[in-house]
Order: sequence, then structure tokens, then C-alpha cells
Amino acid sequence: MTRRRAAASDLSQTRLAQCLFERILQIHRTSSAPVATGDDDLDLGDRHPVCGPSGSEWYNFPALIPTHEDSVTASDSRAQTTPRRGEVPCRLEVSNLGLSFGGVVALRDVSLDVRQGEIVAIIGPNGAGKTSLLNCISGLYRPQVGKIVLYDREGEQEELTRRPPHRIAALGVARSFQNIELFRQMSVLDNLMLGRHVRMKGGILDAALYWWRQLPEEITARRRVEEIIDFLEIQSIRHQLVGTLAYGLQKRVELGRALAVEPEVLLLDEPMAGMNSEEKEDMARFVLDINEEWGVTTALIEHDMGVVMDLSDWVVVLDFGEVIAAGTPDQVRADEKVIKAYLGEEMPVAPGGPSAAPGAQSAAP
Amino acid sequence: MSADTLPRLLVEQAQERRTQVALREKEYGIWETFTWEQYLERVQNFSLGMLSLGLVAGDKVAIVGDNRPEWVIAELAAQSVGGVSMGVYQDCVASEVEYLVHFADAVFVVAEDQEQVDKILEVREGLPRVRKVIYYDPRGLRGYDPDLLLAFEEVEELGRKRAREKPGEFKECVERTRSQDVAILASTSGTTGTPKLAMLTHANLITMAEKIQSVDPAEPGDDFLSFLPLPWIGEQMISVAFSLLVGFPVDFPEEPETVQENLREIGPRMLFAPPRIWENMLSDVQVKVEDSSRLKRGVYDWAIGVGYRSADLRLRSEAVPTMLRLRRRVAELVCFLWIKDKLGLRRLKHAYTGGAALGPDIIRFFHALGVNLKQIYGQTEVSGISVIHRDGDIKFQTVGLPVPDTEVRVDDSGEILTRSSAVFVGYYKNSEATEETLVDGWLHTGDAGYLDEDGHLIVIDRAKDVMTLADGTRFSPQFIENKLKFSPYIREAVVFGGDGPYVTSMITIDYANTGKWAEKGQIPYTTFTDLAQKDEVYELVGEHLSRMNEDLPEAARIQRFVLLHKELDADDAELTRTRKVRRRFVAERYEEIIKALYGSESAVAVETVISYQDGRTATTRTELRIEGTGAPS
Repeated sequence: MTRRRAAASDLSQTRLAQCLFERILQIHRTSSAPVATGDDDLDLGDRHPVCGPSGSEWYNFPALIPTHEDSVTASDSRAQTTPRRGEVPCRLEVSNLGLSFGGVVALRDVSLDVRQGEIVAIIGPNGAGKTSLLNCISGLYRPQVGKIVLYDREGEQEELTRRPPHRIAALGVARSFQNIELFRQMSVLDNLMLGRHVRMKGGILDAALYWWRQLPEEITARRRVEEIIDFLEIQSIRHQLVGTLAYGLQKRVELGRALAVEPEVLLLDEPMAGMNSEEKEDMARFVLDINEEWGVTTALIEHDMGVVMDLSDWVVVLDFGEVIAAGTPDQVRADEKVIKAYLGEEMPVAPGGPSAAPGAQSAAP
Repeated sequence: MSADTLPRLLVEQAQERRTQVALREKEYGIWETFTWEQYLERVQNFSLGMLSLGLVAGDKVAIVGDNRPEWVIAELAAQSVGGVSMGVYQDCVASEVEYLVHFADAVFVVAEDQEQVDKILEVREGLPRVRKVIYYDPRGLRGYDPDLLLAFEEVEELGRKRAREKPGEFKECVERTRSQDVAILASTSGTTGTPKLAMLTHANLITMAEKIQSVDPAEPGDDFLSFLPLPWIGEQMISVAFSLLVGFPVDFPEEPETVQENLREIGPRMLFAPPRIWENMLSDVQVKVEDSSRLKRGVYDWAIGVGYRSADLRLRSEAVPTMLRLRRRVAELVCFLWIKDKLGLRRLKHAYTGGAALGPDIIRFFHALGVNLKQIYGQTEVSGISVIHRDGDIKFQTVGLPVPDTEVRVDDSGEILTRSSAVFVGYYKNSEATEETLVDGWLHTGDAGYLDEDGHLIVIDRAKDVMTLADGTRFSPQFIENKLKFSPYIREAVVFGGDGPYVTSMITIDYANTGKWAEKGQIPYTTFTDLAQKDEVYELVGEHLSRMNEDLPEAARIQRFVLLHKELDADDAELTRTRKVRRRFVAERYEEIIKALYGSESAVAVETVISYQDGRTATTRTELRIEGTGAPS
């Protein structure tokens, strides 16, 4: 039921042309004065400008592209310990995806892959097709063209393209929604327990024999849910109704609901939208911990460039339904096309432009 | 119990109670229990583990974190092998942690989680003596320096190994502990400067526990919820010494945010909390009653009236008329029982307040509810307790009678002096302060007070804080402050008047309660500052002030007051970690405002410098209004 409602709300969602000003400033800030990321000492963006003829074309052959790992120096400890991206097994592969609603083309020839244990950020201006892409992966939309393949840890393939959403969830792909999709009249605990629905086996018969058949399963489920509650530090709101919670907490519960599925691949649609900086920091920490401690492969849509640059291993940029760039945060940050997509063609990007204006620095968070 | 050190008490309890519950902790939504045997085993493993890591007798172990079983396990483990434990308040900022850990010469730091470990690492340079940092919540600690960091379980594992290799070592160590050895370094609250470390011996702590037992006997089944900071002497008293002596279980809440809920689940038989907690409970009840339906409000008003009347009679040791007693019973059934249940006070046998003065109005309220709330007077230097109310002999203004084997007298200057076997041996590395405080075995408390005709001690205030009013009478600002704080809309108040011609007050509103009140009255506001400066809020507080002024002698009435633009905060050093106002510091910091309170202006401008996490600072300017209360000057 949740999912059907979500689909409806996504379809009816009008794409507002929002003011891009803040994001422009962020891009400027990050391109002129790099924010502190683990990869800072190597500003590869300048030495290896990503200049493939078309984003998706080179993207299918990641090993050919000069990536971060190809030019590591001894000072970069992280790159030393992690193998090259091309050698890490693929967990999710989207190839040549096309989706249109009547005459409106939402996605055109979109290809990307998500590697084991990675955090991939999908960014792009409003209406670029980010949520549509996520909806295709989680089965809410049926793409007309293309293929989505999920690989399990053993490398076994599973095609997702024609599967119903609940089957995809059962395969270990969980997601959160941009507009919180929880049952507002139910408690946090019940919402999370419901998130485990695809992991519960009992049917009507088992429910009839509750004490014998269903109870043990529910105890296991509760244990898992309690671990998530502990992890997300929401013990104090366990029994509260979701509708009464602050927005930031609801977002956290939404993440918890996705985690309850015990995902192998986690899709997060703007997990930090509308949060204050403290809440954002918490959420970023959760996403990192989920990724590093639980080993969950993550793909997320995010607008806050600071978060994207700090969190993600790989960034995919969408614009008008097409992949216009992909690479490490540093590469994407320096990509001409990305800057154009955010700023428009005419605006100057040279240093001393708007970013040098005194107001620009102080307005940035 | 015949044992004379805390580890020996633990060994004896484990032999006697074996599989009875010693500790409980709520985890993953379930109360998990440790028996006395498991408690001892974990202490044994951890202490042997620390021995393997090079701890020797006399070494200090600093512990910082929320209340968890590991906290007390680490403390007892250190003591078992002749070490000394020192608790650090978990909300201390890194520089405070550095000061205490360095000053105490701690070699190991037991830190709960990433938050605490980060603080230690931040000031690592200043802590050359610290050899290991032991954590018990591994969350987020991957990639940290493995040479310095160690998990609690790893240390326990080391201890298990050592126990297999050298069985009997732990027993020998425990037998070597002496009752005159220093057991803990307890930091004083530091209202007047940097905290000092009081050295308390096993004998100090155990005799103190024996004294409580002789006044208010506890039984092995009496649950206690440990939710106040464990470095606080009050918590050490009950969660560690008293629990080990009597053998009652200590329960640890799931998270600091869930205390209220956990309190209700456990339904403790005993509660020792500083005034802040009781004040919060009272405001909570007042606000919730305001919010409820008219019928419920009516029932409450009637019931609390009955409660007050019968409590007043009972406390004056007068007979309560049968009709009133009957009404009191009805009030209990329809109202009090439910309030107490919600607050988790329903099974309470003994309730104590201590650490600072609690307003008489608040004590009276709890007695009306049927909560046997008693004052404890004491300080860190006497292991926490020297004077206590007795059942059936409670006077709101006093703190009661001295505990057995304790002498209390008031010297010519009006200072309270104590002498007993629970008096500490001195301050750590500060013989100067020790000599000032301990003279011929008498502890100079620094508090002003007097004894009444029944031998009850009345504490006026810190001797240094007692002010002389314009008409020459001596008066305690704390007394007025406590009266002010009876209002649910006032969180903190600082009263001035020692040097000026009249009395003034700087008040911070209670954001949650006042905010709720404003919402109900449809008064729009944005921030704390904005709310505090609303006309309506000034009126609200002003009304309370004029009502309160009527109960005060003329010279002590508050003439002018200001509502502060921010809450007083321990991180800004305005409060101590036990949330007492550091009066002198506040007076210095808000000098401008105080000057204006004694001037004729109706407003004062303040500049606040806010430092953000990334190191940038911003300055905001606010106009604070100053209002008169209409009291004749």
C-alpha cells in the first residue's frame, strides 16, 4: 500500500523550477576553494579533466578513464588500500535505460553501475530524472528500454526490470522516499516492523497459529528492528506516533524503515533534504556507518554538494534525463558540463566571478 | 557485611547473593540483567586485564561516559587492584576533560563511545601519561589508532587469559586492598573556580553507606535507577557504596533521553536527585495539568488542595481529622496515584534531594502528592551526606538532623563545620586547600547556617554568597531564587542585591513551558531571545514576581528584573556540571546588565559572540528590557 501511494505522489509531483542560486554558490565554493574531503590532497580534476565525448559512452568502460585510483600517490592512504574501481564487483548495473511519459522523456540512455560497498551519489538539477531513475530501479516505474541487473555477493545475476516492487525489495534493494512515506498514525516501532514485511514468511494460516508459528518470527524481527533503533538512536521515540515527530526524526525513521528490509543495496532519495546542519551531520554519519559497518552498498540522491563531496565514492550527474558526467567527486566538481548544467551557459565561472563576491562566502553554510 | 573495602564487599555479595540481580541495563528495548556472580566476574576480568596492560597499585583510572554497567565495573576493577577511579562528567568539553585527567595523573581512560574518545584524542598532546583509552561502544571507532585504543571486551579477554594462567591472583589483589586506601577521586562541583579532586577512602564511602542504612534501611530488593552523572558523589553514594553494602540492584537507563520512561518501567524504591530533577517534575505536572481538560483540572485542583492540607498537618505532627484523611484517600485514588505512576514515583519508599537547596514550596508539593521527599545535606568532602531529614520529622526550611556519629556545629562566623569518619583525607595534590578546609578534623563547609531549637540544621547559602540588604539584614539570594523557580515558566534565576540599594534579578525563562504557554495564547515568537523579550512574557513573569514579593520582607523584594536572552549553560561555564549557578562568573560576564538593573534605563543592549563549529564567529546585538515589579523601593 505504501508503495502504491508513493508512486501516485511521485507522478503527480510537479517539477517546480526552483531557484538554483544556493546550489550555484555551492558549486562555486567547491570549485574555487575545495572543501575538506579525504581526497583533497589530490586535486585530480585539474590534471585529468573528464572530457569523454559523452558521459555514458566512456562511463561504460571505467577502466579506460583516468580515474582517481590510476594516479595515486603514496600520500593517499585510502586509494592504496582500496582496489581500482573497475576490479570491485558490480552490485547494480543500469544499462541504456529509457523512460518516457507520453511525449515527455524522463530518462534517455542512462547507464551506470554501483560497485560493492560504494556510496554513489546521483546529482543533477531539478527535473533531471534522478527520482525517476530510482523509481525504475525499485520497480515503481517500468522503463520502456534498457536493463537493470542486480548482482548478489556471489556474482549471480538477477534482472530487476520486469519485477514488481515487492520482489525487488525481497531481493535486497530497499529505498527511502523524498516525501516521507510512513504511516503517520502508527508508532515508530510498528512502521519499522512493517518494513520487515518482505522478510516475514508467515501467512494467514501461521497467524491463526500465532503462538506456535508466528511468534518466534516476530521475536526475531523485533530484535532486528531494535538493533536499527539502537543504531539510529531513536530509542526515546520508539512508541511515539510518526505523525507527531519532527521532520528530521521522521526522515530518520524513514531510513530505518528501509534498513528493516536488511538491504544489500540501499537507495536513498534526498535523505538530508530540509534538514538543519546538525541533523544533516547526524544523517551523514548514519549513511557512512551503514555503508562501512554494515557493508551496505548505497546510492543516494542529494542536493547538498558538501554532503555529496564528503560522502560519496562516485558521483553520477544527470541532466534532462541523460548522464552528463560520472566520476570521483573531484572529477565531477571540475567538469565543465556539470557546471554548465547547474549554472546555465552564459554565466561566467572564472575565478573572481560571483564566488569572489563577499556575500557568497558568508551565505554558504 | 563485614568487608571494609568496596571490592571485598562485592566479593561477599557475590558469594551470598550469587544469582540474584545486581545490575540491569536496558538494551535493544529489553532489560538485561547481570547477577552478582556475573558482576564480580566482569570486574575480575577487567581488573586483571588492566594489570596485564601494566596498571599498578595507586594508578588512577579516569572514567567518562553515560551511566552503564561498564562504568561501575571499571571503577570497581580499578579499586580491586589497588587503583583509584576518577569519574569525569560526560558532558565536559575536551579542555575540562584534559584538565581533570591530567591533574589526576590518570594512566588509563575508560571512555564510553566515539564522542568521549574524540575528546581525549583532541587533547592527546596534553595527556602524556595516558597509556590506553578503553571504549565500550565501538560504533564509529574504526580506523582509530589501535595502539592507543582498546575495546572493553579486549581488556576483559586479556583478564580471562590472565585468570587462567594465574588463578587466585584477583583474590590476592582484593585481599591486599585496605580500608584506608583512596578509592575514588571525586571532583568538587567548582562553583567558585576550577574543580578540586577530593580523595575519598573505602572507609569514607562505606561508613557513609552504613549511616544511610541506619537512618533509612534499604532492603536487597529495593531497585534503584542510576541516571544522574556517576562522577557526582550522590550517585557514587547510592549506585556504588550503598548498593554494595545492602545488595540491591542498580538499573541503568537505555539512553539519557529515555530516563523518564525507564523510571516508570523500573518503579524504583529509592531516588536521590538534585533539585533540578524535582523542579522539572513539578513544572511537568503543572504544565500538563494546564493542558488537560476542565474536568481533570478540577479534580486536580481539589485533590492537591486536600493533599496540601493533610501534608501540612502531618508534618506539623498534628492529628489529621478523619474526614480529611478520608478525602485524602479519595484524592490518592482519583489523582495522585496516576501522577505518581506517570512520574515513576509510585513504588518510592525514600526520596531524597541534595546537592543544592530545594525550595520549600517544592518539597511541600511532593509531600502533598504523598512522596516522602527528604533533604540531604552534605558535600563531596564528607562522602555526600552529613545531615538528613528523618521520617515524620520533616521541616521544609531545614535539612534535618545529623546522621549517626556525625558532629555538626556552627562556628562564630556562622559557618557550618562537620566532623565524622566519612570526612575525606584531603584534596589531591592541593595541600593548601586541604589545610584551609580541614582544621583539627573539622571540615569547614563554606556554608552559612544555624541550628534551630530541635537541632535541625538550616542552611542559608554559601557563606560567600550571603548578602547584606540595604537595611542591614543578612539574606540568602538562593532562598529568593528557589521561590522564583517555583514558577514553571522560570528555569533559572540569579538574584543580586548585596552591593546595591535594592534587590534585582536576572531570569531565564523555561523555553519549553513558556513556549507552550505562548502558543496557547496565540503569541507568535521565533527564537528563545524573541520569546523572552515579549511583553506578554514579561507580564507573566512580573505577575509571579509580585506574588512572590508579598511573602518576602520588604528589603528583600525584587524591584527590577531582566529576562535573559539565552539560557545559562555549563558549556559557557555559567553553570557547574551539576547545574549550579556559578554566581561570581555570571556576575562578571553580565556586568553590563547588572549595572543597568541598578540604573534607570528601561533597556540594555547586549552583544553575544557565537562561535560556530567551523571556528567562525558571529556577533548578534540584542536589546533586553528591564522592568520594575512595582514593589516600593
